Amino acid sequence: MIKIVFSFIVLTLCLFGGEYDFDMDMIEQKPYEYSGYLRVDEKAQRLNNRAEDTQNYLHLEGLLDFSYSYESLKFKTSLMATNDYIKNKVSSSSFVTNELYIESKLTTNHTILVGKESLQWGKGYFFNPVAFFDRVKNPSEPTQAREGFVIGKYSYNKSFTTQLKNLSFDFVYLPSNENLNYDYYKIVTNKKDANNIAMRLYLLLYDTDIDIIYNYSDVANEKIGIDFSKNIQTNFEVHAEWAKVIDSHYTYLLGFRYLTSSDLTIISEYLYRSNGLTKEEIAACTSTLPFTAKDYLITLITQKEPFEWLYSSVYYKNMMNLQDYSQQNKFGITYGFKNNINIDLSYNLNGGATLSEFAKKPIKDFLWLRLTWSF
Amino acid sequence: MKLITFLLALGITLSANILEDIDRKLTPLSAQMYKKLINIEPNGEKKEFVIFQAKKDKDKMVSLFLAPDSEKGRATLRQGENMWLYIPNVGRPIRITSMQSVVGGVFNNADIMRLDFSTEYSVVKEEDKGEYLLLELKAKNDTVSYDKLLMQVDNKTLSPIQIECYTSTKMLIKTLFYKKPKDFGDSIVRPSVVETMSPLYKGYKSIMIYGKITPKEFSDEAFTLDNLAKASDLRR
Repeated sequence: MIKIVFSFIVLTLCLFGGEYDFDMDMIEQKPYEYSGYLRVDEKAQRLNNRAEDTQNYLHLEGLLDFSYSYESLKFKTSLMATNDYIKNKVSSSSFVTNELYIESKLTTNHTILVGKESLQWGKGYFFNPVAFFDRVKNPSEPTQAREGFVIGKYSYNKSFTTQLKNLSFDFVYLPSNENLNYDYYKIVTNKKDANNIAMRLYLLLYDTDIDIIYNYSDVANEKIGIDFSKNIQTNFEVHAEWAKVIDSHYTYLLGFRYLTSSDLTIISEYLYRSNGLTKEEIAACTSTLPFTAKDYLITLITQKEPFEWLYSSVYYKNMMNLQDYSQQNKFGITYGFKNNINIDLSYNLNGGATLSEFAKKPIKDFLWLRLTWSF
Repeated sequence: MKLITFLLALGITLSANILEDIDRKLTPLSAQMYKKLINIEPNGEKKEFVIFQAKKDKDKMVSLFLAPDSEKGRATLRQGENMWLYIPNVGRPIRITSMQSVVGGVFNNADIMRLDFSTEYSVVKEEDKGEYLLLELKAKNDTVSYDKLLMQVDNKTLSPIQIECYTSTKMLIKTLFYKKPKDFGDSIVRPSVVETMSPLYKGYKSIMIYGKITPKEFSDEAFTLDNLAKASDLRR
């Protein structure tokens, strides 16, 4: 009898005693850190091409972030490998170093960095006109990791106990030539060897994030930019960006993010480019580069945990070209499993009048399944 | 008249002091902490999150997710009423609100990134119920997540026992239960477990377990947007 009671107590302790346990090994700090993911994207696409109705597009992607710290020095790299496959049409692989740099924290306030870094300037979710030293963001996948440029950067950071709570200043040098930062050399500095400099002043002033950016190049026109982000209510954030190429065009973005008490988030952004394509110019092109029109409105509505379904969300995204009113609509559902696998299933539909941006796309609609395993 | 004014001022000061005393019992003014959050679903399934937190003064806090792998590297910064979230793949911080939850479940950002009670609330009523003190707290402004708190405080240890959180429409959103007192060293003795239940999430339960609390000084610059991506450096 005693044995039975004892066994019961031990079993009970095993079952319930662990609820409040905290494994201290989990929090051991190591000089190195790594993380990343393996991802599969499968798109079942219906085509606008009469010769062929459907096709399957398979995209495999792996990302590895690794960093190693030694005293005030930090080495960081972010590597990405991809493979794209469409039967009898596409089979290509790529290996990209998104980031690879060494950073030294000289003091609390001063930091220098040399290497390839993705700066990710700006406040917009879908577009960043002020991100002068970043590759252009794809509004269809704004959270996708992106390749940086090789730079030298000095940063100053200082906090205060006034209405100006924080000030930081970045001085960035980006050389562009045939061997270094080739994409920048090709697109921005028109295939001319160039020295490019950008300076960014960030202020947290009256609870508002403000960036003022200046870009100088000995080949291309100077650029200036300003952005801000502020919570005008606890659940209502507004942001904007404005960028101007001196003696040339300008671009601006207005956006907001609103959260309801039922956990519905609405993010909406309007983008205007003074040099963007008009409806007629889009119609005149046989194929249009994505997102090159004069203005767009992009809205994302996400309902978190519908029907108390934990770790899930349903969303609707609309990307509209306001010149020809063509658009892409996306209806999706996401779920995060407990084994670090995330699933995102969406239906995407391109629509619009003949010769409009989205109607001209080779794909009419597609079912998109994305599986991501994080490690 | 002067006497009444004096007594009122004294009352307010003592009430503010008791809230500050409770705050200091819970965490040092500047400290680092390791916590585990567990969401328990009605069917018994669990999901665990491990976070590191650095705190300075009454209004600055950084949280960094260490586990699970799907959340690793996510960091949140709170500076007073401002709150930002950094997601490694997004690559830059975005403004978020204290109302939403970065982990899902019953805990929201305000529960995880809670500032000192005395920073956000004022004591409007204090009752001695024998075994415990019952404090009615009112939010100092409308940016605070819960408009009213009813806090039961242990008379001897000044540790919270239970907190009921209400909206401005007097709706009960959740109840926090403080359990399992533990000596964390450095004279920090406080409940090591906070359990949460909410009538809005029937059958769900969330638990926050404090694994380690250590007094530590940080620079003001550690709590800035530029350093949010480097939150892991604060652990060293």
